[in-house]
Amino acid sequence: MSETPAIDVRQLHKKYTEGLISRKSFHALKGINLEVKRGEVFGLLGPNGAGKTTLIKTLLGIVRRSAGEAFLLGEVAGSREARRKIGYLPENLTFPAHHTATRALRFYGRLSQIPEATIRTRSAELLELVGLAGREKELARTYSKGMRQRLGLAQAMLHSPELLILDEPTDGLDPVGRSEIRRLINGLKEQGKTVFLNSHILQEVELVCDRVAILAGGKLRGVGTPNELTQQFHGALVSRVRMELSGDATVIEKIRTIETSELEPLPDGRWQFSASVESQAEVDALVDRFRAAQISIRQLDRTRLSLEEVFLSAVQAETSV
Amino acid sequence: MKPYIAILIDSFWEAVGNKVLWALLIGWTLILLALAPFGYITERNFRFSSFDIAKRESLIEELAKGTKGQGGRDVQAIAKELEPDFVKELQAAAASDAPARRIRDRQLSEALNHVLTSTKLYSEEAFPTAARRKRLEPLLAQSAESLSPKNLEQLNRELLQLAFPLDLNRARGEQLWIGYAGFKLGDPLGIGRREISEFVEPLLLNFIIKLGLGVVAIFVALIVTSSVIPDTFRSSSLHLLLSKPISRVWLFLWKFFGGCIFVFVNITFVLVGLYLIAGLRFELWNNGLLACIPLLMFVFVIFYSVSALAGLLWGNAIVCVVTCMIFWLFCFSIGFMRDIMRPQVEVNQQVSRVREIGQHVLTVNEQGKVGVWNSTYSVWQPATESGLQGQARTFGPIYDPQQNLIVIKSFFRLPFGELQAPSRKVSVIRLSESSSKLDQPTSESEIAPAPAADETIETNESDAHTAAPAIEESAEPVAGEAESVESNQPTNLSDAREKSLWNSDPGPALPEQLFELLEMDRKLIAVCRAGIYQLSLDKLEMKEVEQASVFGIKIPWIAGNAFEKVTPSDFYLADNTSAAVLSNESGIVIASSGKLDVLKFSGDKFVVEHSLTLSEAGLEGGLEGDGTEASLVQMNDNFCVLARDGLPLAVLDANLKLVGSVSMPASSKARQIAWLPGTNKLAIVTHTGELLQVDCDSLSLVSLNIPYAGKLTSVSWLDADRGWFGVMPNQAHLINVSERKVEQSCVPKSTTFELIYSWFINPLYLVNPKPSALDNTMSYLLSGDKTMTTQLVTRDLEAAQIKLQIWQPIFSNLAFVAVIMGISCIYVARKEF
Repeated sequence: MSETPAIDVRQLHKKYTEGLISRKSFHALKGINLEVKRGEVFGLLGPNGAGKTTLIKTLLGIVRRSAGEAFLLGEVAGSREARRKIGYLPENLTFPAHHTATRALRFYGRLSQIPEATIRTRSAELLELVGLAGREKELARTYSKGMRQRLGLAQAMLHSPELLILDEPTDGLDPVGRSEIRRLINGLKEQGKTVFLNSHILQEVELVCDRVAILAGGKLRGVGTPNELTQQFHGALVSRVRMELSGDATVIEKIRTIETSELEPLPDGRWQFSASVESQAEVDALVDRFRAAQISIRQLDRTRLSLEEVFLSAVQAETSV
Repeated sequence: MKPYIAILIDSFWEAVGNKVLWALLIGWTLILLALAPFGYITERNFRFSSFDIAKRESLIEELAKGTKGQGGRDVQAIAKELEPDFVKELQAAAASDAPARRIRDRQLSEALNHVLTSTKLYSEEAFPTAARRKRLEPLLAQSAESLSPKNLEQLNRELLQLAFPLDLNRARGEQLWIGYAGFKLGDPLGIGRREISEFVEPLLLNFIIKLGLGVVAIFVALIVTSSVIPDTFRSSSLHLLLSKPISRVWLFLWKFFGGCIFVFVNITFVLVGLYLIAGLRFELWNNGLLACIPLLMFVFVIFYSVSALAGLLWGNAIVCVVTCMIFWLFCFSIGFMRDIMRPQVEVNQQVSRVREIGQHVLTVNEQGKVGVWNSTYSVWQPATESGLQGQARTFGPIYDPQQNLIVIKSFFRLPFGELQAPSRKVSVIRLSESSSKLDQPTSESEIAPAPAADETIETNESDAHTAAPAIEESAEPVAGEAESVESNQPTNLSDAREKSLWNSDPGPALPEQLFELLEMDRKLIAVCRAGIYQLSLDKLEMKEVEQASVFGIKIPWIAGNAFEKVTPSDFYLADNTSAAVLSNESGIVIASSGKLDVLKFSGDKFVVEHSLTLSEAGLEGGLEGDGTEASLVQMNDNFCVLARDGLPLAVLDANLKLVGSVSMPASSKARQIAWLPGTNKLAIVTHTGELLQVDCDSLSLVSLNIPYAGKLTSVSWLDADRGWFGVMPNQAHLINVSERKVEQSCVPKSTTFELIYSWFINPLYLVNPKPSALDNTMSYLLSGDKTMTTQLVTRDLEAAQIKLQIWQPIFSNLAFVAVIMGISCIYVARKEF
């Protein structure tokens, strides 16, 4: 595997300017630095208007960068050579009314300058892979959204690109459709392809991505694995402890010393105690104190912070800046 | 495969997948299928149709007289063969106030057709001149009973023609019907194949191509394709396309050309279909039809480039269509304004004749207006009042130096070439004594040198021999006319343009159906359908004019038939006749319906000295023509030259034996022909404004590169080297051809109307995109002509034709498309989608 990163972005700025007379400008990207390693599945997260699509457009050369540098697989982003090496699935892809799956793959394959024979063999394989075999002669406009997305993924994979940029690949899909796309992305990962994924659905990202970047207000708020991001935004590994207790309520109330803890009554005189803890020692100390006060611990659950909570923390941090 | 070819192929499949395309193709197929059974049905036929009756009233009157035993013997013989019922009808009609109203055209032609079947019509007593006609000899050699029905019809038709030379049109021998699936539709056509190919074919093809394809199909195509560019550049699929390793500018361009495929399929389908129908059914294998495919595509590309730019800017198909319509309206308005003004400035003002009469330079323009050069104001001052507005045919000016008078007559041209005027009386302009004093032969020293052709030409009072100074110099104007001349002196420029210089008297009426008015040996020779008439110029002298008095006011001339017929009673001519006086003034030469006759005086009558039917002259390969072509003829002591519309020049010797033929340059048509005095060289002014010279000795043709070549409209030679030339739009120049030098120029000042046209409308039109001007190119491709007659058919080669701008619209439209596409490409390249 080459040492150059799949995506290498340095101090990338993008400023949109509109109007001929009274020119208005909008700074969409503010000095983005990002490196995506080859072979990893990378997720880009961010609220609406964060600059995600602008970043992808800049990488593809659809919009010009205002400052900074960007490279795809060692090639200048937006160059014809870079575009030849990548596969792209845009958001809300629609196909021309006269396109069947076969004709669409042939058309986009020809645009990618793939030999005709390769287009034919790869089309058959990919249509089988994305589950459209047998329906390839139907007009794409009659397909469901999930089928169109799978066809879009097939066209992105047609020339076996090293890097795939997928913009909201599961947006608007039902759980089955999302699962299908996840399966395909995992398949790409197994093949050693680099996948750059832009999605709103944090669960999807958490499930398939090796690393994640959070973009807000045109700036990168964090880059790393979900654990790394959790640490980044909460200082340490933060867990949540939930216990089902029975015993004297006044005793339990006295023992609850942690500020973030909550106590809620349950039927049959039981209580649910929940609190955030930073270490195992803190959990052990809590258990010891309850047991010392003759409080019975009927159940104990311990959960990690979700990516959503991390994302929300990052976005809130951005808005409070 | 190249990615851009993929875009084109994809566009093709997009077009194929478009239901509108299929709906249009089905529509076109139905139209073509409906057109396919049309065709000509040709028959050797001498029967009458309503088109064959030229003068209905006169014919009915004559026949009615014949039934009463009046009129000529020939008419009586014909009347005897009419059906009894029709005779009763005829007599009843004759007794009524309006006989012509009671007899219908069809009834009349059927009655005449009945006569055609009679075996008893001919008798030597009734038709004494018939035996002298060569083509009747074989028919008269047999008895009428033994003739085949067709030959009997032919014989009787000729006899009817002899009896009614003016009332009946000559039989063509071959009659054409429009047929549908083998059935004749209506009456035979009143026109021949040549006229069909000249008039009907271009008209029909132009209608179908220009309106059907050039407007309807292209407009539909614009609506259908208007969404191609906005959809491509606004849809969610654009980002996918732009992520591919292709240039976005090329993506736009190939998508643009892809949109043209829709139109290409439509146009090709229709034009190939029309080509096959016209060829298989009408024998008109016009390759120009196929050449119209790229031309119509180009028309579409012009509009589509506008649509595409609108699509890029606003991303909405409806806006694209509306923008195209506004663009079309703008182009149409400019083109319409120019088309309205152009004939007034560029055609009607053209000098069709220049004559130097004494010291006056006289011109006749295409409107029939006679102008006299007035150097004081640098204008053509009207010689006399003229009420003509449209294109006219002018006979004359014929100048009689003895009486110092000018004879002239103009007729308004009707669409089919017929001539019309409120009165047939010639205008006689009696020049004043004051003018005549100055009408001495012009010496070379009096003619001031003129500037070169490419310089701006200005004239001043001293450099021209004009009417105005002539009148001013007259010390003692004689009474009467001289006074009226002086009173006609213009006092300002506007006056000079409007005030007529001389008064004209109404002269004798010209005989009916005049073809030419010539001057020979101080006689006016009128060549008419019914024969040749003459009138001595001496009879125009005021003293000899029989004057009539009405309420004490003397009318100078009211005699109706002063012209005397000088040909035998059975000598008559066909519709398309041209004539010229032999250069030695010993006789005249007449070209009529594919026949040439040289007539010379024998005693007081003209007799045919030489005669030649061109189809028997030995011209081959269709060069003999069919006799219906408009023609010009000239003859000197050694040669006779016949120029016909669309055919090579035929050169014959003095005995009308064919010497050879000389081909005209491609797409050139003769407008005027004239002998270079004292030579065997003939000068030809073409409708494209060139001057050609035919050497009859060597049968060679050269183009003379003289000043104003390409803008010439007429020529009048003074000697073999020098002549007055009419130059577009309304100038006259005296040019020494051998030295290529302009000796004198008459360049009139422009009117406000002309200035608006020249400095505003025309430049605006020039820079303005003009898709409709491509019609000129289309007309050229369909007809091969670089000029276009303003009439529906060419009956007279001397009538000014509009010079088609064939290639200029292509270049200007190409420039426009290049600019629009350039802007679109820059927009696409810079736009951040």
